[in-house]
Amino acid sequence: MRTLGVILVLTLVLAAQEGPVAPLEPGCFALTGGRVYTMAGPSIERGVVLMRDGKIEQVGALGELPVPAGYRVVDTTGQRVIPGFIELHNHTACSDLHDIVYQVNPELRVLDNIELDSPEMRIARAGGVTTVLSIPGSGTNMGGFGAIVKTFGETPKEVLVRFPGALKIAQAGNPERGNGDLGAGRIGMNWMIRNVLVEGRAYHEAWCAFEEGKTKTQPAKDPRYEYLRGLYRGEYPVAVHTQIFQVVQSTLRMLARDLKLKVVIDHGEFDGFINAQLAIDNNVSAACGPRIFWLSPNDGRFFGLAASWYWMGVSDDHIGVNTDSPVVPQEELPYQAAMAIRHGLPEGVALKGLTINAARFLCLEKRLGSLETGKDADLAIWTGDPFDPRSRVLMTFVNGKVAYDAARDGQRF
Amino acid sequence: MTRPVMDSVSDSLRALALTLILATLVFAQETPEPAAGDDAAAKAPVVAWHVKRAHTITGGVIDAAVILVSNGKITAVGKEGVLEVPTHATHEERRSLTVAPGFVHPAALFFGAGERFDLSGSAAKGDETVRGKLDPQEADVKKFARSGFTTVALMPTGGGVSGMVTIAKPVKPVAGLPEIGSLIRDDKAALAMAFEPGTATRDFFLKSIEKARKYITDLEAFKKGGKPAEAKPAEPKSAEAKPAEAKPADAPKEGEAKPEEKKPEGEKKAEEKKPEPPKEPQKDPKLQPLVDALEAKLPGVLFISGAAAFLHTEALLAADASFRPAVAFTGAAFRGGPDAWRVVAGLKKAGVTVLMPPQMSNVPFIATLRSTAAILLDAGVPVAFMPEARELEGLERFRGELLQLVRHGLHPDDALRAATLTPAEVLGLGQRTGSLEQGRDADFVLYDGEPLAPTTKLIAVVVDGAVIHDATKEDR
Amino acid sequence: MRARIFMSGLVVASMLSAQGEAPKEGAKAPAAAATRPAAEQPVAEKKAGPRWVAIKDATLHTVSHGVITGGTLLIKDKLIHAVGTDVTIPEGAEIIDGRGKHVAPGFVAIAAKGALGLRNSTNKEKAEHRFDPFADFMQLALANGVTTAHESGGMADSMFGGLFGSVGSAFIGSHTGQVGGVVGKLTAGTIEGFTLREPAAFYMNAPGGQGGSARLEQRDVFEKAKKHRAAVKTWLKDLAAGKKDLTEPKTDDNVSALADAMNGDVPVFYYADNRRDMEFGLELAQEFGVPVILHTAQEAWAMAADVSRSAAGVILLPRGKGGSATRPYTDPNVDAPHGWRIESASIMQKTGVPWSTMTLNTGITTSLFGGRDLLGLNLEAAFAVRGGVSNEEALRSITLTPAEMLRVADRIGSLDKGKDADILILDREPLDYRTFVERAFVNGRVAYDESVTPLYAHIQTDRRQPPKNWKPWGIWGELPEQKNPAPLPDGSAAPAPAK
Repeated sequence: MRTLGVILVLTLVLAAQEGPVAPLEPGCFALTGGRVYTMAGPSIERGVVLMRDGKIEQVGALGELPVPAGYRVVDTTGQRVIPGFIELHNHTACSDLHDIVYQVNPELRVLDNIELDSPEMRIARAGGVTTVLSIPGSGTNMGGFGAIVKTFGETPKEVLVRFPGALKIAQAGNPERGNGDLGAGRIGMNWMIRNVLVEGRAYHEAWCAFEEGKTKTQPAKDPRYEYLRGLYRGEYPVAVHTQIFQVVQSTLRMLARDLKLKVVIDHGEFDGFINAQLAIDNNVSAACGPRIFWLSPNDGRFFGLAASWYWMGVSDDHIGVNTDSPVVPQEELPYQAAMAIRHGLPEGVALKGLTINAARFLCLEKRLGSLETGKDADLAIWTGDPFDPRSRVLMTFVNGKVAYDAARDGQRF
Repeated sequence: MTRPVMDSVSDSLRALALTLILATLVFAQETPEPAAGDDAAAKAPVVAWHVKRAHTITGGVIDAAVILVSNGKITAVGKEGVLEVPTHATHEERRSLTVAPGFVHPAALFFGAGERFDLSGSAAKGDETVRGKLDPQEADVKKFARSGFTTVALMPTGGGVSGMVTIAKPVKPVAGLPEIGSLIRDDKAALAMAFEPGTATRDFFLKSIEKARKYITDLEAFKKGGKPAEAKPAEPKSAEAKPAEAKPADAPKEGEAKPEEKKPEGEKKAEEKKPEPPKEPQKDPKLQPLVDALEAKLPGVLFISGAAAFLHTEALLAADASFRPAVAFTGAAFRGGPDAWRVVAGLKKAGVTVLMPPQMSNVPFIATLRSTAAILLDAGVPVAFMPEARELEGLERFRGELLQLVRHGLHPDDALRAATLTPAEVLGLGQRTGSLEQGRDADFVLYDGEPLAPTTKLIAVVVDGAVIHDATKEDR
Repeated sequence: MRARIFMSGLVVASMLSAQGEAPKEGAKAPAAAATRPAAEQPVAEKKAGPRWVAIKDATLHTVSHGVITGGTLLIKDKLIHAVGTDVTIPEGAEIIDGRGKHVAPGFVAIAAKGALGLRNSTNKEKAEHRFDPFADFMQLALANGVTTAHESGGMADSMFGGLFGSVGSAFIGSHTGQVGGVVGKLTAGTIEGFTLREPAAFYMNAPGGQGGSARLEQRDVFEKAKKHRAAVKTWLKDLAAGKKDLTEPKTDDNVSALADAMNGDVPVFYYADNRRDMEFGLELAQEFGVPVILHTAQEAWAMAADVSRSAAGVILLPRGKGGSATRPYTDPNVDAPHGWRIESASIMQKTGVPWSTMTLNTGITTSLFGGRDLLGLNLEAAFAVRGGVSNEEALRSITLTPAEMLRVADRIGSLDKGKDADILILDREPLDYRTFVERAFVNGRVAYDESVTPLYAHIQTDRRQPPKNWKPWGIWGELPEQKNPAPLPDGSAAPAPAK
């Protein structure tokens, strides 16, 4: 009752200031006065963000963009309005990590396992993370297809952004078996990954020929290769668990250069960044995480995450950050980026990496990643620099709904 | 500090030998000829080695050199045409080869002496030797003969006072198991010690040094027949002699301190009894080597792991100015190669010789390859290389390792000295081997080029004047 | 010095390409060695009089008396001689320009592993007789601001340590307790002036899930200590009274240490994470008059009043343990406030309980805990600011408060005249996530210098600037220039936070 009263009073105050009272329209929000990082142009010192029906309606400067009647106004003066962060490598949005069936499993998918409103996701949004790519683990070379989900939503439709989100390939490390005595080392694994992708490409080409009327006989449907077709159509990327110089090199050569897939390097740690020129040549993006630093035995220098890729020449449009949650907790995504900045990444590049770059890596740049008219209303209000451990999230919006409100829910992080 | 004679001979013989050698040395300075006036020497068979070049170490490089060898000793070294060769000499024509002293290995674990340098613990093995453990195999002796090493020190291992160092030389390989005695020349040549920093090991060394010093002062007092003197370390350095121990935190707490301070036993007795005439202090065979080391009668080698350990060793060196063993950096605990460069000032101040593996240092946080040997030598710290090889096979790499250091700035002459004369001096054999000069053992190696050039091959090895390996006459 | 001769021809050419500038370095090495802070400096002729170092016009975070802008800190030999805005700098002093720099007391890691160069800190031998002042962990910790560490608890974690650190094993200890540990300085390059306190403390773990007998055993230790203390008192009294044939009461080291703790002479670190464990520990503390310091006290906020009454302080992980097991959680079986809260530190602060910050991984790691290990001690404290404390309070939790808990605050922990000159010169304010140490003084001696140690020397204070000498390994050719190093049009997507 008291809350209602407060709202009433507030409304009255507003009414007194701005004339006749319009009833609040559901799903309409106006964030006013804060510094707005649109990620689609200059940031706005004192901005206004209008949200309606789950989408960004308009973004402008305070004083220039009027707040229409009926919008619930959130005063963000002195605060920062930042697009919701996008996690490129998450294992906590669904309950299973992975099934180790074969060494390569292109037929598996996480879609049927997504949990709605899991505790993990509640924590994620309290940290300003609004979208995650949930992918299978790295127990096998090809864990299956992941899904892109929002961290808040009441129905599966609201939560699911896209399936397939990406194909998960793990090139080395976890899927390695012994020293070739049983299973595969890196040589065998590369052959198996390439083999199944080449088979998938043949399958895709056979179907394309049929669909374009070049052949009359309809190929048999094979669920094993069906999702691989989207990769060759360029609809979604391959998220590759790859790190260490040699392994990243094989990722870039085999998947990007030879098979021409859209590749996102996940992990990318240790001395993987020495391959930067190969990544640049093949238009590959690099997302780094979890927090593994590289204390070079060669020269005693300390290298950190995406900073090394960036200063080796990978452009600011191709730099990303990931946590590998739960390895690093999901809500520590901005802290992960802070560590990249600590080791030399410019702050602006880190912010792009968490927002518009991540959206682009997932082929979702038209829907997510920036505050622009028509995009999903996913954003967070921060007390300050989001990378500073001292800053915190005040409110998170997902699809235009209040997903987290520190004042309402209590401060989580 | 060097001992002129290695064989176990009586004191008088020892003295005689010393006099003889000194005499020949003086004589050699005047006439660079083989002891011409000595009838016995004149009659003895003499071999004249004619070589392209000789690296004498102590007397520079001599082109077109002649080395005269008689009775296993070098009797003269000089230039072809200048040095007079006795008419009855036989000739070794090796005019295309270069000669250098054989390498001296100051810390070997061959022939079953040990597995690795174990630094832990604080055993007082004193006069124990490794001789009983040695078990050379036929193949090993063959490898040894071809290694280019003409002297090796076989080391006892283990933390504390590890025991006595045995000196071995290679012999011409013969069929069947070799006689151990044919290899060994001395089994009490030096004292080996090992120190791993710790409270117990530190106390062990400090107490041992104190005991040894007390024995020396007591013995002196006994010989003088006077009062037993208070044991005083030699020239204690006031600032460092006393490790800062009395700290406020360690002070007894108020109220807990015992009301009556007990006086040390000795003091009480001194008050009660009249001083007796001093007794001869009892000789402790376990302690005696350390006593000898403090009196500079026996060389010592102290094994430590690296620079950090040396900082802890400084407290031991500060305890007695005569406790100056050569310090061997095993590098076992250090992953960036020998790191003695970190403590070069301390090493210089202590005035010790450093034994170290012939390696570059590549240390994280330093970022560059550095030549520890060059740094030490430039600072005036003598360096002796101790090949890393634990197996005889590995010795073949030794020259390559030296070459690597030369490539990185170590002067080849410095490298050669650190592999020959300096290790010999560390073992007290500086007057016996390690250089090509009159009176030294005829221990040398013939190469087909400069000893430290990449394409050079080892051609022949001569020990005590005998050719024990000759590649031109053997199937390899 | 004899001129260096290099081999000529192809061999040298190939060596040069493979080893970079190594031959040159080798030849120049002696000069270079003199500038390395980790190397022992060549013996310089001792000048008469003290050595003065003045850091001028800097922002001084004194911890004990606020922040002084444009202040000067004067070091005389091993000690801080003066702090303030009107400090007279003696002639001949080395002057360091502090403009734009921040000066703070060295951080005190109240729970650490490996930073002191001890391969095994449970060893009974004295740390100062065996530590490695050249340990790379020591350099790394100094580079991130740690100048004093309290270590007690087994081997240092390996650089690529496990996924989840065992926070409970930050210290040695069992439910019956153990005395040990060392408070030492990161003296890097020298073994002088290392020990601040050894043994450092008495460590005890809550019986936890070990059941009733463990609780009884723990209580028994307290009883024994109490008895021993009483016996010692009687014995001293009798001695003073001149009675004869007395025997000094004897007991084991642990009980005797706990008895000393009852006198207030030894700090007691009590590992208790949850309510139940803390309640038990606090009950004993109250009953036996032992002011325990609770560590890893995740739920201390939920019983702040009890903690305030019976404990001498808490050691916290302001951001919690991380990992799915220790997120904010609710246990249906516990009918009281519990779980982890970001406000933990702030609640302690408000209740008046001294609190200090520890890190999730108490060792040093490049893996997974990166940023939440000893190298991120100041950042862990920054999380407490997120939970509501001030910057100054957070800085105190990694400097003066741990020094007080360890009973070494007379020596370290703040910028005050007479304290040890353990000082950091930082390129940003102490809690900034981009802060690096430019120079760390320990006992007035430079123990770390960013410009001569390659670790972080390449990273620019302004992250939009290309790294200095940015050519990893030097053999990968020319690197493309970043055309747009500050991609956001306003030039600062995430400007420095308000000071």
